[in-house]
Amino acid sequence: MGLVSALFARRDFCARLERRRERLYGIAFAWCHDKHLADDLVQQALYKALQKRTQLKNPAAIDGWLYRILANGLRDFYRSYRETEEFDPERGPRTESALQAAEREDVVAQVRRAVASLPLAQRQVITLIDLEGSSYNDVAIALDIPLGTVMSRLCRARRALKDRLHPDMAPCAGIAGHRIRRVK
Amino acid sequence: MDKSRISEEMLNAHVDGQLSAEDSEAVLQRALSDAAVAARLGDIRRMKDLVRHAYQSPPRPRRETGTVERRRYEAIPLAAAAALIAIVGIASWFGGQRAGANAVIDGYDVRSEWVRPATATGSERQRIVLHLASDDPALMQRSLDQAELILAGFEYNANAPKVELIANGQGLALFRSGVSPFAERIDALQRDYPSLGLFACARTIERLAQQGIDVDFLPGVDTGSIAIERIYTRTRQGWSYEEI
Repeated sequence: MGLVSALFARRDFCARLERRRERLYGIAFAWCHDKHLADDLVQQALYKALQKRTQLKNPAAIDGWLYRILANGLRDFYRSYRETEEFDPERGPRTESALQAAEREDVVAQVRRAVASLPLAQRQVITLIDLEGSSYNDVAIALDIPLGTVMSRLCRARRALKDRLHPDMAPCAGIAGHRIRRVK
Repeated sequence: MDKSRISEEMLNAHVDGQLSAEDSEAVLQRALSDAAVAARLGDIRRMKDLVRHAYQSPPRPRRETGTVERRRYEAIPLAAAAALIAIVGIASWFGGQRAGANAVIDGYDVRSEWVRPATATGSERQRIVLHLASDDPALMQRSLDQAELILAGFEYNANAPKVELIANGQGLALFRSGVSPFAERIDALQRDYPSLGLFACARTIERLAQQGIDVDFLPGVDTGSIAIERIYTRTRQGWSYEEI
């Protein structure tokens, strides 16, 4: 590969990484509940991905590969860093009414607190599946755990959330644009 | 699929679209005829919807704009190492003048030569002592998170790391029965990770006893070691040490 081709390949890869920044940030925040840490972890993961891009043999598997790098980054961080910033949920969009914002904040904050109280291993599984729509198999590969472990951690996580959240709690329709589906 | 009994894993897999068409149909048919199954499916869907809702708009940090290449990345491990060196240096040079209880264990300063930053290198089996001296719930949770993070990636690896979580002073609350806010999680961690050791400082227990406070501990917590002695011994044996 010539120098020019290599430069273009690198630029294209950077663009692919950048397109995934927002999604990675959402996952990182759901794992650590610290916006600054999440931002740093994502930047670190993207930077490492760029450095190690030749290790990605299957371009279609880039998402799982990035999740793995992100998970490793978080693990390394907790092993070596002891910052203790408190959980700090933020308010919703300004276009909401005060009542809507308060209602939304209440549900969002409670769910985030409940998720934050889960063991990290369960938090990682449930957020990859629920937020990213990852398959169980992809999660098993990304986190380097058996498929059965993915399923058992997911069960435990959802059971724990059910125990910790009010039975009537539901996403605020019209704000999230997402309604609870009903089982016939 | 055995249609007479539908596991929770199966119901979750159905909601997540992970079942074959045939198995999914079986779950749906069962839900139509069994209100309890339908209710369980409803609960799972509700949890899934709530989680998605809660993270639709995560808070954004104020940060400089740029790309992977142009944004200057401040390496977290390097920052952490610098912080550790700074803390150890301050503890070493100024002894007891350092603010905060974590630099002092049972009246002894943690000396710099004991403390080695965690070095996860190669195939060397990791052995790490985590030390908690605070009853701040955030720090308690952080200690459990750290223990699990170290252990989680290796649970099916023969070379799994060994972690000892040692609590003394106010940190004893983490292991106290009826006091700890994390009793269930600690129980689950012990089940999931046999190589996790939990130690409540015998000296702190003795002090509490002298004050007329009799404490009970969660199952599996070892109460036979003095924190300072155990940390000293472990670091001499090559274990890494991390204060929470």
